Amino acid sequence: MRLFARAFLLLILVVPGILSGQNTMSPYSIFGPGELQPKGFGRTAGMGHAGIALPSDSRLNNLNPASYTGIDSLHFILEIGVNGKYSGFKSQGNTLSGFNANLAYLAMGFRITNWWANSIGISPFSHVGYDITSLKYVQGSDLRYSVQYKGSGGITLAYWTNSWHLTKNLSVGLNTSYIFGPLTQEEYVSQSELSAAYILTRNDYFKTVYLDYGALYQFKIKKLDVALGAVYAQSQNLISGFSSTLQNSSLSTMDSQEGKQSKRKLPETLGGGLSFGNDRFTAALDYKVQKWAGLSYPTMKGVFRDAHNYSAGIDVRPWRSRVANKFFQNWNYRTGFHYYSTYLKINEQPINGYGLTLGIGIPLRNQFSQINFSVEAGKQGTTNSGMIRERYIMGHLNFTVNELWFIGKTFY
Amino acid sequence: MLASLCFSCGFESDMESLSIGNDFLSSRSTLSVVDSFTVSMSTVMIDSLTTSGDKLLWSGSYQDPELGKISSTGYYELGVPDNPDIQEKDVYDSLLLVMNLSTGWYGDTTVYQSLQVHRVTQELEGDESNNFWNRTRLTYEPNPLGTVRFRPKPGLKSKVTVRLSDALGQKLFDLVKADDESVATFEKFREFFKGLALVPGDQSSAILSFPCDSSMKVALYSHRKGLEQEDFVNYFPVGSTSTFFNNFTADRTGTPIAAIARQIDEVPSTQSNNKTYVQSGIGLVTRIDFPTMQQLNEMDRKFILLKAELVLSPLPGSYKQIQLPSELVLYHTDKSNRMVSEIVGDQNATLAADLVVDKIFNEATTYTFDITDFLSTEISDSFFDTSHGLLIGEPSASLGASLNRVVFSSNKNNAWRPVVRLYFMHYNL
Repeated sequence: MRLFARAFLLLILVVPGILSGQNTMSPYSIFGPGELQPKGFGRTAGMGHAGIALPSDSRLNNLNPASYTGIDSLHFILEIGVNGKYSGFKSQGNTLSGFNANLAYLAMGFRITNWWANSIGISPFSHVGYDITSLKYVQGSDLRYSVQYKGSGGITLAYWTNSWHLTKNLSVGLNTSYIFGPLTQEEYVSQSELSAAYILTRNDYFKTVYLDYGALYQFKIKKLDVALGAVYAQSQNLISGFSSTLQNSSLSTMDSQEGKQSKRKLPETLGGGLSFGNDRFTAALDYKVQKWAGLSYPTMKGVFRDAHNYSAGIDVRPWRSRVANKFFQNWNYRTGFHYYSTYLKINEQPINGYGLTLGIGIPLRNQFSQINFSVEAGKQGTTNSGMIRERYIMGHLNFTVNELWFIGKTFY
Repeated sequence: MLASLCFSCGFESDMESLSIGNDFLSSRSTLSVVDSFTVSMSTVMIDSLTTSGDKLLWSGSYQDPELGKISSTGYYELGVPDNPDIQEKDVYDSLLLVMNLSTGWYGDTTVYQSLQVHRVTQELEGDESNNFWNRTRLTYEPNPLGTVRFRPKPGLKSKVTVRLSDALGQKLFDLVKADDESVATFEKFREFFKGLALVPGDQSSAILSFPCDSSMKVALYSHRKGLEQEDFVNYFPVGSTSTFFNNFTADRTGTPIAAIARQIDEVPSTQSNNKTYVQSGIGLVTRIDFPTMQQLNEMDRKFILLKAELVLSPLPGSYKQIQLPSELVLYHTDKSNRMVSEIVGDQNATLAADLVVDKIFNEATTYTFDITDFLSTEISDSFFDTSHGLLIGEPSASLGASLNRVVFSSNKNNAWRPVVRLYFMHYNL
């Protein structure tokens, strides 16, 4: 239990870190709830984010709430991940590039009984981060002024998942999340000839209890382990309120307003996956749709459309486990690909993206724990119709700490 | 330990602007300028102005094409000579008033002017603060002490010399020679000799200015008999540089603003050929009102008034002969046209209008007044009191000290229309 307590303490300590700071740099995060963050931990990050049909084993998988029944009994698993992303943006001949890093998630999972497993964790749902300056004309005049829009914040999920074995082959899961977080937009208006310097700040606070469900059916075809996974969440209300202020350049508040709570919608989400493999090879395929069409959010214009995501990945161990193996011969090697259409269509231009992932899993000395490292190279958006294209390389470092519950030895 | 991992790094950007922002960020602010509010203009007259500002005596008269016949009489007190030197054997020669012609003038200086010097018969006494007012007219002896006729060349450092009455000259000579008490001190002397008035003569087409300082003096010439005749001169200087003033008058018969007689009288520009006037020494000022400004308090969106400018244009051609004042300021006024207070800038500094002069065509000249504070204050209580207006004139320090003149155009249908330009930031919270 010492480890459990320690992990819990850790969770409390790092939560503020996850919630603070600018987590992303993406012009497209001005829309809606921001840039949606893929779920998943170190293993699936190297497999093109595919894993709806992957059971948790010595590693956790939060892509399917039903997966945790796969946790080995007596094991306690902790997942910590860090992201670093280098992005280059291009729009109409302008370029912008930069690096951004943040703690991505923290989760733990354990079996309670033979048929019941739990996981609790905290992970991002969406990130907002943009800094856009636009030069405008004072209406009715040829004077120009600049408006700088700065977006920050994001929505975070704190979740508690229960997975149950219904039959030997079938597991179901219920994920109960508390969704919360502010989306902040600051608007800096300045015009020197008019001595105008004002800041409009709007904080939209979101919170809700959010439920999503999963099912996982595992069977064998000859020696091949096969699993079918499904996830579902109905459209749910996101309760939002806002506070808005107008400040002058010396930051004294000139006007302010507290907004009444209003309801936004989180989309209905459906997903399905297939995985198959053996002890040295696993392949996974996912499809997921989020039905954003018809939903609306503050601080944006435009219309949403449904977002689709296709993922495929493999995880292999080319060498059989042997004592005489060289170190890299004990590693897992992963690759994957995902293609997605975002919920945005701007100027009749769909904003789509794809990413290619490569990853390795390095077992630590207690053989269940792992360091996972993956790199994703991808592209989102397009330079057509005045849009912005982002090319990125994202590094993801994950520690999977796997301890036996009742053995005193600790990883630290 | 892990908290140290929660770092973020900044982005380097060479992007001026992301075009996407314009189309899809729903901006909560808009900057705009509105110039459709009505500006009403009229001419009013300030009853009394102090005129002692620039230490200049103005004398003469001229016909202003817009504002009738303008005249000025300058008054000043004579002092006593310092250590006068007149001895028993000395003989009086002559008495002369010597003045420098200053650069300022109004009217036509290309022809001969005549000027009369009279002896004032009334004491030059200011009010409690020793101010003299432009309406003050003193009595003086009907016969001039002297008259001069000359071609003025203002700006060429020319002198004007007036031969004064020998009767007075002999009298002064005798008093000095006798060491009379009445010429011993200025205080005594002013009881005997109240002062001089510089009155426009028969031939006058310009108002000229003379510095009321040490260059202005009455010279008493005499000579001493002896082996060789010696000439002496004793000067009666300006008695006090604070007790002098100008009496500016205007005969506006036949002009569109002839009706103005009292401060309460107001001639709207619609009754004066779409013109309003500023004429400093006479006390004419332009009154500005904003009859529709209450609409500001009825706008749908919240706003901040960033800046408010009042742009007025002098009528083209009206300032070829008579120079425009370089500084014009605003005064708060009420329904009786009182000059309540000068609108000042930071640290109570003069907040003068921005003057842009079109020196080439004399057409695109404008005065731009900053009325931001005035309007912000007026609308801050959600009620714009339309009896609160603005008066336009020269700064209070120089208001009565010149005859500077502006003819403002108030024609709403041409390029010289008066404009109030309001810059707003509208916002949604």
